[in-house]
Amino acid sequence: MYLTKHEERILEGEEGEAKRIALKTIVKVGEVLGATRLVKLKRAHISGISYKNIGDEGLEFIRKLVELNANVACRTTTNPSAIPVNTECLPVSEDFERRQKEIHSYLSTMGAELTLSCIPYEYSPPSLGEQIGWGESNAVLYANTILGARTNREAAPLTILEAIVARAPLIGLRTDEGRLPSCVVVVDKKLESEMKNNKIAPSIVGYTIGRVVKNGVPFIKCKVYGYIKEFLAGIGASSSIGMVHLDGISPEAEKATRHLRNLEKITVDYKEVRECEELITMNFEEADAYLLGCPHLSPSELKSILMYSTSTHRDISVILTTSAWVYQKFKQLIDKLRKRGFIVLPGTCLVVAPLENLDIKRIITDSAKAAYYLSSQGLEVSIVPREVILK
Amino acid sequence: MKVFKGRTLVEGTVVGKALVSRDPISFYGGVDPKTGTIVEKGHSIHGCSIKDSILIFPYGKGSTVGAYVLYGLARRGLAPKAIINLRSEIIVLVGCILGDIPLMDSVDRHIFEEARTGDEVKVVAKSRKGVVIIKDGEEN
Repeated sequence: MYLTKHEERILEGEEGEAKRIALKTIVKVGEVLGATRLVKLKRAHISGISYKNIGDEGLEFIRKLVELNANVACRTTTNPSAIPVNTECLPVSEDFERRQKEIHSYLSTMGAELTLSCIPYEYSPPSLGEQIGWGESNAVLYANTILGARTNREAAPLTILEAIVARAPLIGLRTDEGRLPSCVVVVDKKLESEMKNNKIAPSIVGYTIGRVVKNGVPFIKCKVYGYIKEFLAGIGASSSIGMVHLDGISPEAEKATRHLRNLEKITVDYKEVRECEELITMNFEEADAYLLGCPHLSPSELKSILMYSTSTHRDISVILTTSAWVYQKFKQLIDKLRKRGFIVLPGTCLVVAPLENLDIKRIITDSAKAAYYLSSQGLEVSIVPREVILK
Repeated sequence: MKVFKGRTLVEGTVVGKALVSRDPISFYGGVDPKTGTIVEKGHSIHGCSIKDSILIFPYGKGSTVGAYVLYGLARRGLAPKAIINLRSEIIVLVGCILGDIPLMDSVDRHIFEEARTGDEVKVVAKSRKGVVIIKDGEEN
């Protein structure tokens, strides 16, 4: 692999041990996967910062880098934490809280912003063609598919290392060839109209496409109703896909249409989606809670939820998850939602938070991604379109 | 005895019992980090422990946190002895690099017909190229 003089100096340890270790791992990944060189990054997004997910081994990994004086070398945002900014809303043990805050402080010491958010595209949007180093599958899918930025689904530990040297290996979705469509997915008309009529959530349609296609860069012919980010998050949860071409929406989709001939055509229909839904959901009459915010709710989504809601009293609690960044910039909005009786959890999400202390067994959400991760932790989940939940 | 050639991604030579999954694996959410058991509902090897196995599956899927889970499993002695993929993606690769788990990919997809869970398998992953040797049932 070609390395610049500067990169060679980093590998020789001239810029410190942290950078040397970081670049060594990145080069190793690049070499075995056939990268010809590295690319420079202006943006990184660190995934895997929840103590619940990464445990003591992850904590040690990050601590070691900080002890070697690691600093981020590009604008770096961070994924949701296991605890919300307002810790009282989701109590955890003292020990757990201390360790989670230790991770926060290490990231902060390294110069990463504690945005604690899975939607970095909302406040640090990359431009068309920009090379970025992002973890978090929904963010990667959104950046590649909707913004035309370039990143692979970087493994969580790799995102920290990439942030430290602002470099990533030129492979996969970072290359023109890696972004060519690999198959064509056609969503049948009945399914589209069920989505349009709020009979089926877009997230489970995405989840099914991911489960069927599994990998590559599908060209998807489907009009997505509702939130595209939920559709993309669904794809990310059930596959290793990091980018799709959405016909009529993705900036590179038109160019991609020139490469569709001879590609395998896969049809996804209503029946398949319902079968797929059965794998991660249960039927139940009464839920303990509703959950909205997987991926995190943006300020405009929070505003529309506020507009929808009229009463302040609810029989069933409604949990809204959003980023610490939104909490800092839109505090009044959060306060208004709380006054309306919503439980707002900024900086965390139920996928990465410890659920033992929440007295919730049955949950209704609009997110297939949340359904997949929550059902694998033993909760009973049902997926319903957001408009139906808000009514 | 059957031999499959492949590409070495992380070096190592190990012997163990095959655990064959036709489905992709999400190490975060799909595997219990405390025990190394596959917990994803409807998964082809649901309920199986990946500890000390030669884990053969097509490729990884799901959360990028999977790399930490794999690394953590390795640190606590719950990881597979080696991983064999059709095509490794970055999440599995980084988990194996950090956890020092031998990893090979680009093996022929017939491995899913030839290798059965429980078969004795030897993995010789040397620089660049490696081989997976599957002993037939009768030889065991």
